[in-house]
Amino acid sequence: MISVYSENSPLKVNPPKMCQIAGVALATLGIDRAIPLIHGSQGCANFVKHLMSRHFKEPIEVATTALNEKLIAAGGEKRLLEAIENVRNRINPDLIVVATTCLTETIGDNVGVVRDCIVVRTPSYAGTHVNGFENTVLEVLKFLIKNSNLRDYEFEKEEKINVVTGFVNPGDVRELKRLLSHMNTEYIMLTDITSLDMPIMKKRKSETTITRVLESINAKATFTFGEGISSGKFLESFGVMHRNLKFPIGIENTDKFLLEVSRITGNEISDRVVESRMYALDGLIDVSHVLRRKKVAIFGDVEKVIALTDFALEMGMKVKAVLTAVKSVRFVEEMKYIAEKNKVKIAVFENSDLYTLHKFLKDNPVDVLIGDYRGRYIAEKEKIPLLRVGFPICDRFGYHRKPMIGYSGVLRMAEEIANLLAGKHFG
Amino acid sequence: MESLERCIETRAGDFTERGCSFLGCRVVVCGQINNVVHLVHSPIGCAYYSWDYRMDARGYCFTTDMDEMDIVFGGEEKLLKAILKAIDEFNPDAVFVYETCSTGIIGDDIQAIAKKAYELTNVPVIAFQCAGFRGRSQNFGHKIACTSIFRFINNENRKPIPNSVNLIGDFNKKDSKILEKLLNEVGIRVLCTFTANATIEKIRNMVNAELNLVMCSKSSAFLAELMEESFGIPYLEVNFFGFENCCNSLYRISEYLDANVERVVEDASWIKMVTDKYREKLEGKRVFICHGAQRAVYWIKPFEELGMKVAGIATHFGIELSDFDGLVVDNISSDELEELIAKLSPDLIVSDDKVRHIAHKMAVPFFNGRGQNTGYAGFEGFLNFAKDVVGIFDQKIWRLTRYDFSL
Repeated sequence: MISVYSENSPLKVNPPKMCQIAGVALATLGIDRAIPLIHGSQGCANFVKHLMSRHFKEPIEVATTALNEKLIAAGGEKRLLEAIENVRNRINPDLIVVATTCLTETIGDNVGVVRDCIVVRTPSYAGTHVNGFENTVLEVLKFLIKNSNLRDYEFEKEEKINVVTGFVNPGDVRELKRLLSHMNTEYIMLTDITSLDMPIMKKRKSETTITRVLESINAKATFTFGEGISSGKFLESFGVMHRNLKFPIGIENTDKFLLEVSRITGNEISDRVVESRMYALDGLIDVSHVLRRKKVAIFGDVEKVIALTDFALEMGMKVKAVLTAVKSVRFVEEMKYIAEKNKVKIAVFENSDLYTLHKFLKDNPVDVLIGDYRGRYIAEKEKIPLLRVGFPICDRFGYHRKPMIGYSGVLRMAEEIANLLAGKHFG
Repeated sequence: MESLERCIETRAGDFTERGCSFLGCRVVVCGQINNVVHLVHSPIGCAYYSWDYRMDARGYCFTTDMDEMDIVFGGEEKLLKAILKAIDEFNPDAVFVYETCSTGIIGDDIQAIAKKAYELTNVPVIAFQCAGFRGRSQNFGHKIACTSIFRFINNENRKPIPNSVNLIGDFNKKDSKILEKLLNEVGIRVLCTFTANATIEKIRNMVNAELNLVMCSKSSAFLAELMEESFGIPYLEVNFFGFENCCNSLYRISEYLDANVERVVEDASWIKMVTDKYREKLEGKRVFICHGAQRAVYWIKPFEELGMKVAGIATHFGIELSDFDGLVVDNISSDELEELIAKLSPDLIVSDDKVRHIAHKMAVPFFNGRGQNTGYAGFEGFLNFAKDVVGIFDQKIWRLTRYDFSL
């Protein structure tokens, strides 16, 4: 049973969602030698760069066309072409991904003039960072395939798979790669953002080069986790199977993902995979009595919150409230299904904000809160421990490296929750 | 990257560290005014990214979260409802409304809405027309913030308070705490620090000061100029970073006000003795400074006092420097910064969090010029500063990054 709270308020206070260009920047930086170019005021580029740099603790390269009043009057198109030229001369990237902004979309700038670069239409007033990521992967695929000699690639499908990772962390992608290589499965990550967690004195490097992106049409299947479905659908038209699953968060969701990979590639679930599953379960059983019946509230992006809810229920926690900042029928429907299946009562907030959640939690206290660092105001005021997952986490270190996906992710999250509760539990 | 003194225009395709006027207004100047609802009239992006932009910032994010329909039909009605709801729910001293690119382009009349909201609630509502496309950089946003706030404090009934000052252009809470204490010691009362820890009440009281002290002239000299024109309050550009700078500034203030500077300087002389001891560790080390503008200039002298040499300066908005013979560049981009660091190979990079990870990745010691847990202004701050600088060179970890296994 669920109770749905959906208020179309004119005022949002602490909404946990970003605009599309954050997604464009993340997806683009996951492609080797690719550069995002934000077509708008210089603030847009600076904001995204600053936020990502504080989360990933890495230098982030984002170019801008730096439009202002005078330049708009002269026409943004000219400025955009100039910017592309300038970026090429300076760092000669393999790929430039142009993202439009509120400014250029509202004045109706004609970005059609750009022929040799990818343009993603990403005004802030439509969609969120999740859509930005999805749109970028799709546009990159479309552009590269359109501009390539397809005959070079149209041979028999190889035993490899594509994974559209969605808006996750380098730690998550690393865990996906680890599990897949333990399954002896070749993969193409769309895109490989482990490039945002590099050793010292090493430049950004990604396994996903533009050649690899192109090879994705030659894979057996594309896996999407609710985010990036359109890219999966697009690749389907080239005979690549499309499998849309839940995020592999929690033991069951990870099992399902790996079983599906096994079914499609014919690669068996290897002993190493079984071992890391058992390894995780060993830790999970050890903390199970701490997590049992603990009340939890979860907030964030639709698909991740759904999978995190599965994880929490798996651990025998009581999910009291789930919140997402966007309007989403899927979110409500899925939560309804989960609640009925597990015979629990969940308060579901869609199109909402963290202030609303805060007010709710005052009357309905929980033991732990799961979400990004923006939950800190609730956590501090109500003295509820916050399990930091996702993006952004600017007030702690190393969280971009900690996965929530896969067996490592479950173990990390469960143990961290147990440690957060340890003071209370052990007195 | 050009060696120019004036703020040059950002070129197309730059990887600039500059922000837009909205950032200058919302984050730099206004963001730290307490008990004010900072309502960003925008789609989610601008509001989200400016939320706690500074590492030490803590506050809520208020936004009208404009969607496509709002952009098509205009957001004035939504904005008014949002202001009224915010006042009802949070009971603030004032509401600051910030315009952004989208709401600026569609022409929402935020001034009229602010006026209407004020009439309805009697809570001051200030509208800032700081859309990101206005002006060349965030510096223009500072100007918008200052002029809008000036219009708000413009008060005919000025009652000067003897021996009182405003600290204008200090946006660092830790610095302002030290400076307020220091000025109290010399017998001067600080009415308002603009804007670190400022409140609406303190800002309203600003007109009663006898003298304005301008810390960051790039961002807020406009306000001091306006106050001089309207109320005849003189202003002084001061620099409290470094021992000598701090002494000089205090003596210059004492020319205007009744201040007991000698005793305080004498009391602080032990600090100079301590920091002089650090010189042997730091002598000859080369520093590269990368800051907005004013702070870059302010850091030259304190480093020299520690025996270090400034090898180069990069700014975001350009500065005027007369007696400096090193390299000075404006509108530094992240790629150019890497190039410059490689070329100059400094022993230390001084900047803020924007540049931190570029330096870290290159394994060059990094020093946050805005202060970490402590402020760096005043005598006390100079000691904190010297300790932090020495601390970096004491950290073996920086040298371990250069370890060569072949040896």
